[in-house]
Amino acid sequence: MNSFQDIKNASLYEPRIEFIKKQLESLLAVVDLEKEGRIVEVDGFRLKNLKDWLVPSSCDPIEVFEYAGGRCDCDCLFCYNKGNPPSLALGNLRRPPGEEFEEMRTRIDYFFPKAESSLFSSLGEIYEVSIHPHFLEVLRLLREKTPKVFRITTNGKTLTPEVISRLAGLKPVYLYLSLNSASPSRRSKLMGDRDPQIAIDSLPLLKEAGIPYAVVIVPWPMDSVGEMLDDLGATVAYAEEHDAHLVGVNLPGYSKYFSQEKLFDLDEVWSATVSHVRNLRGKTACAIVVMPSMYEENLYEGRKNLPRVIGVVKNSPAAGAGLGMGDQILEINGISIASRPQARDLLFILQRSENREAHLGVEREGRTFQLSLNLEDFSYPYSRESDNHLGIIFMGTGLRRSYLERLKEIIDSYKAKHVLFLSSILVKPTFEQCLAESHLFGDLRIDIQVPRNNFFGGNVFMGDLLVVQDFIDFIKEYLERNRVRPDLIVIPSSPFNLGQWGRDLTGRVYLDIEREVGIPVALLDCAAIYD
Amino acid sequence: MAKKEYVFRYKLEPKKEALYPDPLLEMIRAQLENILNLVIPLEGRREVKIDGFKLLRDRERVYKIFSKEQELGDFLQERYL
Repeated sequence: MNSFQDIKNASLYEPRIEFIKKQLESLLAVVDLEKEGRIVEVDGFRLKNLKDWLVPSSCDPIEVFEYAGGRCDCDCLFCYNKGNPPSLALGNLRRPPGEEFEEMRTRIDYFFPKAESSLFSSLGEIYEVSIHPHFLEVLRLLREKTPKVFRITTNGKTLTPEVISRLAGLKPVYLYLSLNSASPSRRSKLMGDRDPQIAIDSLPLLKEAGIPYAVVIVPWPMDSVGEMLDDLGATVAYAEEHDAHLVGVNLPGYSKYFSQEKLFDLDEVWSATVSHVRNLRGKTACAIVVMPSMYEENLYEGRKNLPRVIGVVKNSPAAGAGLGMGDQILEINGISIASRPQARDLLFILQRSENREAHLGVEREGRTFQLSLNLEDFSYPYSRESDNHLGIIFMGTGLRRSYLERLKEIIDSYKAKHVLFLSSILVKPTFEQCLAESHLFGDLRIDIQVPRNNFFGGNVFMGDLLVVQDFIDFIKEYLERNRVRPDLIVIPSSPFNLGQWGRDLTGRVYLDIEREVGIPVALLDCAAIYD
Repeated sequence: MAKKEYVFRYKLEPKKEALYPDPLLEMIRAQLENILNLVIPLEGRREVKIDGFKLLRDRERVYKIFSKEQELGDFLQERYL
């Protein structure tokens, strides 16, 4: 018999299982069950017919193979899993690999891409998927079910010629390779990798095998910020030399559970990194994305949400047409473009279409002109399957204007006059700009505030990592500070989006906010803001 | 060998926290809390937010559904209780 599942994971994605657990527990507090006149002691329950537990799904294969990521063979200095709060609803079951394989195989049996349904998620902490002894077998079984690209995040320690060759047989495959440094000594120190050359040497092998990959770097100031930036530059150059699809720079942060001490000055490290990346972009052909992208946008862009190009994928239709960093897209196939999400949506449609050409109106240094993109003219590292926007790289997703229309509908439905809108440090400037440009709201009072992230603490300030208790604490403080009570509180849904059941990262339902503060709370449907 | 289907099993634990000492009252409260964390009740098409209940046998007493610290919101009391 296999192990019990962790109910914390289920509560986040499929709270009906937690519901059953609590119902049974409340009943068993007052009755005993019996069979043939004898009391039956029960200590658990199981799901009866798995077909009843199918949920709507985009059937991305990652939904299955991430269950291979229960362990890690690195010990990264910056590993965010080390800083997870104890009450985070992401348990780690630590089951035997064979049992994990049984679960993945069953999930594959109930993985129905055509019907767009699969078994509910129940993921815990995710580490390194590629070290699982059955990982490649899981991918093989998945490939029989779906032609979708396998997007695999890996530290690269397993990327031997043999593994790369087997991955090549499972295309389309795209790797997010956490290289972090092309220097063996720095990678060893940073990641606890005793054989750093395997990952470093994998870049030319991936290119040879035709597997596109992003090089992922967490710039962590081990010795000094200067040394960190020099290494970042060297790693980007190495990635460019081997035709990386793009470089992703994940700005570092840590929670209070990771360290009670201040490890570095966040603004110093983040602003120096972004400045250095912007300098590197002018010197390299490889696109470099900084995450979270809105940090860069807030620092450098007066006007937010513009469809400005920060780079292009080498050998892509965009690169072939001569599109470059700094270009702003004004028009796509004759349709006027007002915002970055709109540009991304249209390019995504073109990417998936059978069209042979696309026509862009472009502004470059005050000059406007037309460009024609040949959608059939491309080669590695660009690919039709794994790219999304014809090779154009933007500064994140941007903010959809439709969110404002939805906000207006919510406010109208509550007949609210004074609204408290809870945003984040990163999104607030763009949201304020969109609000100021909108004519939807008249003289309605919308007070935009930013709650602190006490749950994670440390230097974590991402809005999507706020939990119910953070919102409650902030609103109570706000009500104490202000004499006028808002008649509606609106919160973007993204901190509650994991399982579509309005749960935060601890599994707590957002409805608890209005239960505790006594003011109606509405969620504004929105996706996470950055890629 | 026939392929085994993975069994999704979950552990039951003895119920620990109770808002009311009367176990049958607590059972009703816990079941209501549990369901209200999954659904929003409607009256017609209007959403109804509930934070308390009465027993049919004693309509004088009002019981809270959620935690003791729960603030019985004015908007909830006026509109729905």
